[in-house]
Amino acid sequence: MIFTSLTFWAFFGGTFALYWIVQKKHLQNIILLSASYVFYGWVQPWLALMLGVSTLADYLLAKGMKIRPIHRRSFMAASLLLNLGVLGFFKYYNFFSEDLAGLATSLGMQGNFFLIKILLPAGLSFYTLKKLAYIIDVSRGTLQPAYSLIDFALYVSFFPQMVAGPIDRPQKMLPQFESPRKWNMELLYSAWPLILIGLFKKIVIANSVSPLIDRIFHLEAPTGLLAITAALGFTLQLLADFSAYTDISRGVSYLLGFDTSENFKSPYLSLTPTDFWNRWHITLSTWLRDYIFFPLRRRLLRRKGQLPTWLVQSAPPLVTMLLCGLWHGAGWTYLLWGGMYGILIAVYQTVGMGGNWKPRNGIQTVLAWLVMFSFIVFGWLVFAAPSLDWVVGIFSNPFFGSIEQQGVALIGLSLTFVYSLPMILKLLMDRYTSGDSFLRTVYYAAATAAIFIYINSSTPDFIYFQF
Amino acid sequence: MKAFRNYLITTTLLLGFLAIFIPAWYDLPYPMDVGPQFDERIRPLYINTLNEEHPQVFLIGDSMLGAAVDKDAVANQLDKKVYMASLPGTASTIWYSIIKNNIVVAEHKPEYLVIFFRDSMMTVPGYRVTGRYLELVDEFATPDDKLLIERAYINQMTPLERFMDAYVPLYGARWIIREGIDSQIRYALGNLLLKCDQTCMDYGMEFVFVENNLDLTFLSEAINAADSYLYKKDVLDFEDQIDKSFLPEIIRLCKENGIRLVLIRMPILRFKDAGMSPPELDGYIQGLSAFLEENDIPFLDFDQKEMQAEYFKDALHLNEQGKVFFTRELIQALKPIIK
Repeated sequence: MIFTSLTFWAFFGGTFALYWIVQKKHLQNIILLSASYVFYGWVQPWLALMLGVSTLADYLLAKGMKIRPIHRRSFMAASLLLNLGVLGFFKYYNFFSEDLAGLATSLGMQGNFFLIKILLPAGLSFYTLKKLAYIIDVSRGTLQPAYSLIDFALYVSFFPQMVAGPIDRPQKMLPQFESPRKWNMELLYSAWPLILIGLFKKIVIANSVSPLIDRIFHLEAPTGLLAITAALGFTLQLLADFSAYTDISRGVSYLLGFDTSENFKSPYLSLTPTDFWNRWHITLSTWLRDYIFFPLRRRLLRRKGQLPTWLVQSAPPLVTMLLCGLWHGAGWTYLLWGGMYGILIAVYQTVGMGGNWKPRNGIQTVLAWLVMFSFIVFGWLVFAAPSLDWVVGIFSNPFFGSIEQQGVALIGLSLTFVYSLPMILKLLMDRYTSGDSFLRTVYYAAATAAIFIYINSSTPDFIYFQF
Repeated sequence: MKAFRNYLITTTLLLGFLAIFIPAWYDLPYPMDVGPQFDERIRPLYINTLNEEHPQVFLIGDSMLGAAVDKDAVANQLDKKVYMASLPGTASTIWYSIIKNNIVVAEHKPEYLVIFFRDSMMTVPGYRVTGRYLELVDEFATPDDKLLIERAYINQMTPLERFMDAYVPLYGARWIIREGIDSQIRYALGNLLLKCDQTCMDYGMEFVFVENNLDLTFLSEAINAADSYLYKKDVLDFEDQIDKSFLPEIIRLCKENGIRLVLIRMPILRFKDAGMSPPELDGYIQGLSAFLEENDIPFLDFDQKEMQAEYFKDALHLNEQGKVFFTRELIQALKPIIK
């Protein structure tokens, strides 16, 4: 079920009505949990079963930590093994399947068995991080295990966040699930702009740009100009698509009485890589920061005297960003993309442009933005490329190419430019106008009209479902 | 609250204004006719071909046909004049409109009409009829093709979509409006900088994205994604689908015009591994086979098991080696039918 389908809104309408009719907190949670499992198992019921079993396991392991603190590390190890094992199997099996088949054949075994393709369950990467955050915090003693299995299961499977986040922490969501909720109109007033703009960004912007950009990325030998077009187009498409999902998710959560986290804060205005990760996919980057970057840095700092300074400074961002790349998928392109950010963060820190850096004047701001934006666009080119050879090939292919190739590049650039205008206008409005300004009202009305024009019976999936 | 109220008022006013403006601007009736608005013109491509070339056997199908069949070999072996219409991206709705508005109205009609399809294609009227396929259907259909509009478009809509198509002009006219917006975005810059007009830019798109320039994995994935519509549970319920499809009409038109219809199920790679095909597919093919037998229509089922994976260049299309093999098999199978 995707957020732009009629099926989803019919499903949500039913859930919403039932949810607010019952009024009692525990009944509301049961309704939400049932709805979340229906949502998740809609296409493949076995996914819901797998989710249920792993949720129960983590719930019991966390309880075990509380009851038998002496075995805390064992429970923690079991949970890590379970969560990372399942994630690793589904996410990376296909990447190694051919090698496994080759190895089996060379050992005289039947290798074809290993060649079956494993389908990555949507949302697995997201709910695994939610469960890991819970289990690590319980293990650290910074979070009490959830009393109710229903509340915990709802935290893991809450359907607005199920398949593409935001990856909210248990400290934010569990108290909300444990508290009574009453309907009030403020929930609607908070929700409607998010849902409207989410639908607009997905249906009008992302879906208009994606067909051509996807095709360019699957050309065997694109020209340099076509590659730049694809990179710029994807830069727009990914932000529109992913932020649309988050907006709708947050809007739907508001309608159910929950406040969930923002995931994007004008990421393409970033001046440094650290700044970018403070604005892009914020709930993922804070997860990585809190559970990988900080612990690793603390460990290295403790051994500062024994290790060279450059290693202490550069290893945490590099390891964190490499893992970030791997989290997005099994492939050298993801690894290179993550590694690139790791190196950039380390280099920027070394030259004094780390997290607290501020430009001294306008020229420095513009230059820093230009450099960073170029890195972002290049990063997305690597991220979306079908292979590393493809990226390398761009540099040996002709830059302009034939008149036909230039024509296609111009179409792509026009699409990117025109469809980025509403995003830029929204950005300016958010900065310079109030919530009830006339300009904003006209923008929302025009967005509604545009949705009517651009909507179709079938909408391509949100990009971030695949991670 | 104020923002929400302002939004509701402004949106209502805007939609109200557009409800009046759009029908007036595009000269559309209100309420609008549900479904696409075809123009009156029919492209007489196959009428002319039939009248000029007088083929005795007419082969029709999508791009799989061209990749699988050597027309000249078929003509030589069967000793018949053969015409082949291998139309990429087409399916039963376009074939029906070509048969109805071109083939059976031509002065010279073929003796045999052979349709090449895969799996449930013949009974899925909503397959490949929107987006750029709509333009293709429009070439061979008119507003009088009520059955086509009903089965290929209206039957595929939810009641809400039908209501909006008729009463919300912004939605009903969305194809026309988008066409206007898209052509401005697509062609303006090329025209300005490269002196390349719409035809030139469209040619550029076809030239750049020709099959040979795209990586095969992507093509196969795109094909499989698009084709998954053919394997939905309800679509594979033959008894339910047959009366919603164009197959009975195609049979009727052929019989009334003295054309012998032959149906050929093409081999594909999609379900090459045992147990991979949807369980309902076998039942569907049995239903189709029984229906065609009842109607005295020869049905040649080139099940995918007969073809080796080496004969394919992607999930659907045969390579040169496959083409030689398939053509030979086809000729053998057609010989007893086409005399």
